Amino acid sequence: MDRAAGLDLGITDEHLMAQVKNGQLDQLNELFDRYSKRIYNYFLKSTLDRDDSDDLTQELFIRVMKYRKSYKEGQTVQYWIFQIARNMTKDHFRKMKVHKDQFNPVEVMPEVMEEELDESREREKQLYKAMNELPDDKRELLVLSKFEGLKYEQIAVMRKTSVSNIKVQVHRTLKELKELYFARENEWN
Amino acid sequence: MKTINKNKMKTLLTGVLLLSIQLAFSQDSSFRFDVKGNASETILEITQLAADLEIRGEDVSEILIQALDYEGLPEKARGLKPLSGGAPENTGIGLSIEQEGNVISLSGAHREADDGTYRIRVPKDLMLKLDYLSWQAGDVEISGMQNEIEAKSQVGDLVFEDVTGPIVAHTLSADLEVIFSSLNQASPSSITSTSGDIDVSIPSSTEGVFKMATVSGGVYTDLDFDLGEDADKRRLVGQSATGTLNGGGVQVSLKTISGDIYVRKSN
Amino acid sequence: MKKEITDEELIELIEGGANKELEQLLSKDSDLKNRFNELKEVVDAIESSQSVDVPAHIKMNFQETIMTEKSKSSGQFSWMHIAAAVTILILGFGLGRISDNSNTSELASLKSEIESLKEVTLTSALQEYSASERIMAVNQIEASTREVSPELISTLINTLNSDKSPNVRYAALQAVANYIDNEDVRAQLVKSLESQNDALIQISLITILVEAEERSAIAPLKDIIDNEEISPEVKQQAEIAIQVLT
Repeated sequence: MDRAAGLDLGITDEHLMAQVKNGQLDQLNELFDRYSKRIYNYFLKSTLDRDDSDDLTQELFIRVMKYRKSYKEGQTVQYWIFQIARNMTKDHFRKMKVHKDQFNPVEVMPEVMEEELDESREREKQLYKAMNELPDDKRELLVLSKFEGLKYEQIAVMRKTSVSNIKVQVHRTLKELKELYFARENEWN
Repeated sequence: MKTINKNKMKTLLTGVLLLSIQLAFSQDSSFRFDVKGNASETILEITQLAADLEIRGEDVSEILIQALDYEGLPEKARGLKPLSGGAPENTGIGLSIEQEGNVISLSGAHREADDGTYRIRVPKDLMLKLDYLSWQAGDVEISGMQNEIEAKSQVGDLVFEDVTGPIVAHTLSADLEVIFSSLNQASPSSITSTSGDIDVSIPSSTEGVFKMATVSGGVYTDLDFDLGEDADKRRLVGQSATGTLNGGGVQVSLKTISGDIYVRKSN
Repeated sequence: MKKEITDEELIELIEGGANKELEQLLSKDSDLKNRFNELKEVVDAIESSQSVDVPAHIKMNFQETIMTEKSKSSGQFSWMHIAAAVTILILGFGLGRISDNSNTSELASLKSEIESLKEVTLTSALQEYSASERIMAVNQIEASTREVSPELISTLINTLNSDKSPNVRYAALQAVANYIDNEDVRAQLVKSLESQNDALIQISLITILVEAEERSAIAPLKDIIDNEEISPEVKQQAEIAIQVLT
């Protein structure tokens, strides 16, 4: 397949961002379509707050637009965007000193027509309740690696540490999450 | 032959030694910062600082900051961090500097920076924005800049020399002195103060419309303004005039409540 | 001699790190199998978790932002575009009227800029520009000889009340003063007097209200005299003003 024939669908993220950098601001719409859902869910699962995620998502794309000139051509767009997102999350956690006690996992899940007793949905609620009890920083790491599927190598560069260190941290966090997850289950049954 | 060589060697060594001392010294008290992107679209924003400043625009692409009398943290505080800190110190000379997008933020990292004097050399087409609102703020001298300067000060005098503007500056009680090398015609300048004097020098060939107003001070000039029908119009309170120079051009607004306004020929 | 198997090793297996030895152990050791299943359940829960759709307003807001940014960065003529938009708002021109002598693509972009300006309000759009450029916009409104729309007057008043630069606020005040005959404008200026905190603006406002003989300013002027945080120069002007107005 000739890539040129593939219109916007065939264009890589990197090419798209290079065009934005060079002044084709309309291409930001395409970039938004490609990344907004992932970014939104990254914020949602890291902060576990819908309103904050709305604001953060909005702000992120404004930053991508404003700082388009600092995007280095050739740099992976996914990495670049998530790096901005991570910095914002970090700032957000710093400002949010008070941890919310009230947490309803349904807030970070897609709406359903009827609250049916679906096993996987119950499992997911359980998951977010456990995640709510993880320290902010660990939860964010888990979202990056497990929910958004970023490579350990990429996260290591973002967090300025080694790949093996990230791997150890993710594994430890998963273990901690498992304990929280089943502790809750026992408490409930 | 041998002795000459020896002497030469000695001189050379002394030279190297002196140079390295100098280098060590200058490394200790100065900091370089690369401007990312096009300087003319970049703003250097100075906030949370009260030190005396000398900012000079030159044909360079990086920012060089020299601390002239920064004493650093007290000896006893070695290895400790000041609790009352601002943005993280990342220069070694009491300042914090970072660039995000097209804004470079420069601020004092802690109280000790405010007692210092800094000489900052910047690309001359950089935009400057200065918030000098502290009651302890020092004086600011800016020279050689060829882009917009926006400055606010309460008590620290602002002196801009060899600048093209546009200049947008305001003080509470400090004096404002601006010596234009030429006047940027792209957008207006505005120089205002509550009780400070405003002293502006411009080449006599400058084209512009000058709106000058003071409530209890006077307006003095040696330029050939066309005041139209407005000539020395005394209002109910104070004195105001609109003077056209060389057929008119960009607007320059000069306003003070109780200070005087001086508009001089610079040539 | 049983080697202790850590959760980390089990996770590695779940992540796809082949480990024959461990797999064999799992089939024999039911406790280990149990731990493995628990971890697997958590990882499965993560992997099968549903994504939430992005609320539509986020995309709309972003599209609006792109529009404003485009008008700003379309080369060095961007400022002229905004200026043209301001002029059109001032003159109240129908867009059709200028279509005759403009090329269509420029007109289309101008049209979208004006529409986006109306939506985000001119005041906030102006904050994207430098202080000098904001003064230019204000001067341009001031320089227009025709009747100015209420929208632009409120832009000037918003600028007077909220711009970060005292110079821009001062320019806005000078511009608003031209419409002092309007009762609403006088009321807005009296209100503004209560919220200003810069002596230059306070005194200039007092002067303008005194010249307009606006008696409703007396109450906020008295508040100024009683307010300890306000500078003596301003209080002095306020006292003179009250004498003139009463």
